[in-house]
Amino acid sequence: MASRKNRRGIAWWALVLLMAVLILWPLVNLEAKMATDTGAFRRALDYPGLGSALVNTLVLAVGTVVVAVPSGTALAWVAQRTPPRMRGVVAFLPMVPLMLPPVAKVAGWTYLLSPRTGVINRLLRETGLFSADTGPIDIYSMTWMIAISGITLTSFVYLFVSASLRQRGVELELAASAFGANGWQTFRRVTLPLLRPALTYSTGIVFLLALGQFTTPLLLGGPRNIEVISTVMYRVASAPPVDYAMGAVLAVPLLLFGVLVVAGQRWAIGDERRFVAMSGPGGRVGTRSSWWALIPVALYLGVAVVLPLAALIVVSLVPYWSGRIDVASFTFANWDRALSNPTTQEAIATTGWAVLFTVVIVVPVGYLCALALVGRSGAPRLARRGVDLLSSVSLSMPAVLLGFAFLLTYTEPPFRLYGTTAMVVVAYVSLMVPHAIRPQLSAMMTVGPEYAEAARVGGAGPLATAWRVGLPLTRTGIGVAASLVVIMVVHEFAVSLMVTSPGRRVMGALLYDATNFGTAPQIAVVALLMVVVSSIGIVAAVLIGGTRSLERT
Amino acid sequence: MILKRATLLLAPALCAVALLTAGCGSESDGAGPTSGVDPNLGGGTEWQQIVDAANAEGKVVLYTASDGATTTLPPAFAKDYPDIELVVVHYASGQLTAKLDAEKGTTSTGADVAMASSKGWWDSNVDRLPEITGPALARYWSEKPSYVLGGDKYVMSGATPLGAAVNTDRLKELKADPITGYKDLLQPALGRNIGIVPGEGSPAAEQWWYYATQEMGGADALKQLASLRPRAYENGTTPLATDVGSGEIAVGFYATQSSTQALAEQGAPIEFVPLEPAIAIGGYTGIVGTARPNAAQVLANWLLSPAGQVALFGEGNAWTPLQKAELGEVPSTMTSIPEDSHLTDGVLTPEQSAFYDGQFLPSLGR
Repeated sequence: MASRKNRRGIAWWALVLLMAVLILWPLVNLEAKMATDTGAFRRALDYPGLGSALVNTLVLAVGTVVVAVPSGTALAWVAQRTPPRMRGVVAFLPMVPLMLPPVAKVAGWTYLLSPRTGVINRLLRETGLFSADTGPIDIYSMTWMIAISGITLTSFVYLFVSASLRQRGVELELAASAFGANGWQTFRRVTLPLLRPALTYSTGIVFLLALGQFTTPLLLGGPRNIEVISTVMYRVASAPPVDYAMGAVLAVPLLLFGVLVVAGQRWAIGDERRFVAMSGPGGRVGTRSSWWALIPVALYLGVAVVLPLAALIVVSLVPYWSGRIDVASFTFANWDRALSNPTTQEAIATTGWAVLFTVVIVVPVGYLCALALVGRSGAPRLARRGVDLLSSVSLSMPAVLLGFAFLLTYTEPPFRLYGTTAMVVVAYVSLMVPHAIRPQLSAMMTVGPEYAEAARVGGAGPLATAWRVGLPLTRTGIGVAASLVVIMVVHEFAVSLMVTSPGRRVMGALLYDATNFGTAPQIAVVALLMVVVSSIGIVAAVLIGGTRSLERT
Repeated sequence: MILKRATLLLAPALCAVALLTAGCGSESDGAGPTSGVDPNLGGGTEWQQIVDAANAEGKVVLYTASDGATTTLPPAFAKDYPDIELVVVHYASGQLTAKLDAEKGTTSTGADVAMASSKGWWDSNVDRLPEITGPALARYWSEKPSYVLGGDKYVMSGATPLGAAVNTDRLKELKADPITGYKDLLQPALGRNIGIVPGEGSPAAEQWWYYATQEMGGADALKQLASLRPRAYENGTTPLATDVGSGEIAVGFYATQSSTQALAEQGAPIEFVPLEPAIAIGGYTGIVGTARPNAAQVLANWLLSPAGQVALFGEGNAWTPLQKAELGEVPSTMTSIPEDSHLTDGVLTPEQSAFYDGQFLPSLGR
């Protein structure tokens, strides 16, 4: 009996070791460079514009939180107040922007808001209200960088807050009303406190994502010299000989922020059980609904998806972009050129394989981690803590920092993986583990231990219990995890740029190439191809998890 | 509902299949001029053994920072070596050498041959590079010892002149004078209508700005340029040309002919203006990988032969170091490096470094 327990303990520790190798080792490896190079601090401090890059990083992150958290929360609140028969579809709509790659969104917005040739700017000037020959909107300014990243990350806040709203129901709000509380009092004293875990979690996540974001500052900050830490790190990684030690120093503020935010989240939420307010099946009964509630959702969808997507489609069909839409000049030549290009075909194939391998590896690893975390698996307490900590580390690290660490670690012995699909997959798996854990963990928490116990009483072994009971009951969570991983891998950009090599280029890297060396229509075509590929991946993931996984993504 | 949702989700997938089907079978365009001269001319049986081994290897990878090479080189190379697939990968200069550093010592993949503008990188890596052994080196480059470097390990194989990309419509609207020289960039009428590629991370580009600033008028000219609020295009010459073509800006400096020409062919009101005296980025070719040693030799030899030189420079977007007469029949657009041009080598002098870091970048607010 004791030896079986020991064997199981060893298996859980093996899982912790695997996660440590995937996530912790590259980071330790990177920071070790800093420790062995005493001049790195001086070089980093002397880096031109480092101070303003730090300030810009913080301004962008805080600004993004200020835009995204209220917008996402408001959106989640109104989505609950749409007419009941539409609620299922409407609840999904604010998550559609997640399917659009960030690079595609930024490119789409550039065609709409470039100071002189942007379609919206042109239309605004034609109203006669603006006298200058450019603007009034300058997409290459900090204000609009904040606006665009805020709009992009609103979906993340919505994702967490709407799930919390769905879970808790409206009984407590109705009770507060019955005792005479007005709308504001109910919101302040009942709704807001109950949303605290979701708001704290989403604020932290959005802050971290905004802090480490790369696409928006790279593509929009460049023309006005607005640098952030992630773009500085990318420049260090692109300038030979690569100064890894200085990159490691530059990474320190991001590392510290990541740790502080995760610790702050835990401190602010404390014991999550204090916020549990499960609603019964009739939990939404009594919510006042209105057709007007559809307007904010439609507006958000229009701004976050329809406008940039429409811009991309139009630009993909013109011979060259002039800021004017001339339907007579539309042609499929750009599509034809892109699709017949072997590089595009190879990138689509590599992305497909990378997504497949990553999902096949990361979803089971995430399942095992969730099993350890759920606390009913017999995993040693310290091993559970290890899994929890390591997944938090990966979640709190900006992708560009991890990309830098992967590049260093896997281009040197003992794991010289550079130039292989294995390197791309290892990097993606390391990045995606936390995203694969959370949905599966949620699914396991809602199932409860009774079914597994019943199976064991009935004589089923651990494997048979997992296969016949655990897996079918958590199928939705598995589907959600697979969908999330597919979306995030196809859209992944920062790490892909650093770890892919010729013949192993993925679509994110291809899109970056297009932004460097391609014309506007070529960029639009590749961006739209990414949308198509991620949609195909999501369909496949939904087939695994059932359509409910889509709602829960 | 489920059916509708599934249909919605499948629609993009079906579109993709349709588009992929539409794309299949279409001919890739971009094939440039080719030469009739046999690239193996002068090679004996030993060279033929290398060519046979290269055919067996079947593939070769070239890294380059040149615009247009990804589309023009593979079809021209395939004409001479149909059994070897040429993969051309385009990187910005700094990224290219960073990638080569990352690939040092790897044998499974990456570049076999590179064309990079930083002579400094070639010099610091010369010990690990193999010699170029093909017949073209002796046949066409023996009279050019200053171009063959590192003991036959790398060759200054071409130069790309950079100039101005001009949106002819916007220039008229702004009532600006025509752009013919470096000083024309400083016209007040062009305020907030200029774009430049600062070239940070590429020593050759940094040198280019050193020479160009001297031609503009030195430190005072730099202040004037800064007062016009130029937009920086860190991503290179193609995004610069794209914005000039669209009219987002009127003039782009540090532009290539190939990127402007591609847009002009699509009907954009854009033209390339060469500037006098010409300042060109020198490009160096050498073998950098060990994964496919024979195919790398064949490609390096081809690039240095008339066949490669015509494929690279036949359209006149960049210059060949060789005299046209040495190359057999060549297109009239092909140009040899003019004697009075500045050529960058990517080896920054202390003065040039001090200028770029201490004057140029700060003047742009960096």
